[in-house]
Amino acid sequence: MGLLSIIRKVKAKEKECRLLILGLDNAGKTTILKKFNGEDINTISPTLGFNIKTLSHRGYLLNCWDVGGQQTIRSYWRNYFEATDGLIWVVDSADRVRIEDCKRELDNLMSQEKLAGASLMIFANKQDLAGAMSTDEIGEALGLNGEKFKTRHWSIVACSAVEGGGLLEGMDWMTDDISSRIFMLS
Amino acid sequence: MDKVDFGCLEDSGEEILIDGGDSNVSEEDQYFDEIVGALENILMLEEFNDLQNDFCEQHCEVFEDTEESKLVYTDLFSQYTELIEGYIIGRLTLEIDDFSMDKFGALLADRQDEITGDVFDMLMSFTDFEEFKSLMLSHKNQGEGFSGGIDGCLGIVSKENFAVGGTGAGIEASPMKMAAAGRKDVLSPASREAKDAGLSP
Repeated sequence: MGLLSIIRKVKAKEKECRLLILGLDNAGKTTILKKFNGEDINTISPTLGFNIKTLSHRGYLLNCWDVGGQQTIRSYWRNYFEATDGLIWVVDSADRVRIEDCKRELDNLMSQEKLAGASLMIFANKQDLAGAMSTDEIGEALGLNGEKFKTRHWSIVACSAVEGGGLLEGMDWMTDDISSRIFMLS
Repeated sequence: MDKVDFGCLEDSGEEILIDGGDSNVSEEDQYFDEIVGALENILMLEEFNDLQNDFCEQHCEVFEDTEESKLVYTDLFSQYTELIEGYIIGRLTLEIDDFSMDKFGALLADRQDEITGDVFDMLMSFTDFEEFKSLMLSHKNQGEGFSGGIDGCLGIVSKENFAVGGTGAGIEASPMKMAAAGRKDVLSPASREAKDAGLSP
C-alpha cells in the first residue's frame, strides 16, 4: 500500500464506509441515491459519468459512488472497486427482458477480487410499476441461492425509488452488515 | 533535535501528558519524527508546487462545474495521486538514509491519534476526490479569468492556495489583485506574507 492510502486508512474517520452503487442503465441508481438523500428526483437524466454523495446514516458516514450503467461505460466500473465496503446492486424489477443481462453483470462483479469482501445489497426497484417482479422472482433469476453467493453477505429488498419505500430498510441492512464486519472486529 | 521538538509542538498538550510516563524518545519515534519533518519540508518545496500546478493546468480544461462527474476525472485523479505520491516517496528516499515505506507505514498505523496537523491534513486532502475536483475547477476558473495570459501568475496563485492548507482557501481572491502580486519573485517568504496581507478582504 502506498503512502497516501495508508494515511487515508489510518486517518479515516471512524464509522466511515464506501458504497458502490451499480446496475444496468435505467435501473434507478441515481434516483435511489437522491431520494434517500431527500433531493428532488424529477430532473434526473441518464448518468454518463458518476455521482458522489456522502450521507450520514445512523451514525455512519456513507461515501456513495453511483456510476452510470450504460453498456458502453460498464467497463469503467472496475475503476471504482477499490476499497468498497458495500455494493448496492439496483435492479429494474419491471425489466424482464434484461434480467439475464442483469444476472450476467452481477456475476461478473461477484468474481472481482477487489469486491470479494463487499456486502451486497440488491434493490428490487420500481415496485410501484405494474408487472414488477417480486424479490423471490428476482432472487431466482439472479441465482442468489447458488454457489457464487454462498460466502457473500447479501440481502435483497423490494423498493420504489420514486415513492421511497424500502430504501431505508436496504440502507439499514447495509450499514448493519458492514459495521458488524468491520467496526466490531477492532 | 529541532524536528523532533517541532513534531511534539504540532500535537496537542494532552498528547504530551499521556506520554509523560515513559518519556524516553525511542529510536522509532526519532525515525518517525525525522520523516514527518522531511515531509513538512517536501510539501513546501517550490518544485512540488510546480509539479501540482503543471498537472492542474494541463488537465483542468476537461473539468466542468456540474454535480455529475465525468469518468475521465477518475483517471486523472489516479494519475494525480500517483504523481504526488511518487514525488514524495522519491524525495523521502533521497533525504532519509534508510527510508522504508513499509516501516513508516507500520509506524503510521501505530500512531493513529498522533497523525494530526497540517502535514497530514494536506496529505489526506490529496486522497480526496472531491477536493481534487474543486482544485481543478478553481484552476480552470482562474485560467479563464486570465484569458489574456499574464505569464507566471496562475502558478503562483495556486501555489499559495496549496501552501495555505490545500483546501483551496482563498481561491476567490480577485484576479486583479493576483495579477498585481504577479511574478515568480513573490514567492520568497517575506513577500508571500505581504501578498497574503494584500489579498485579505
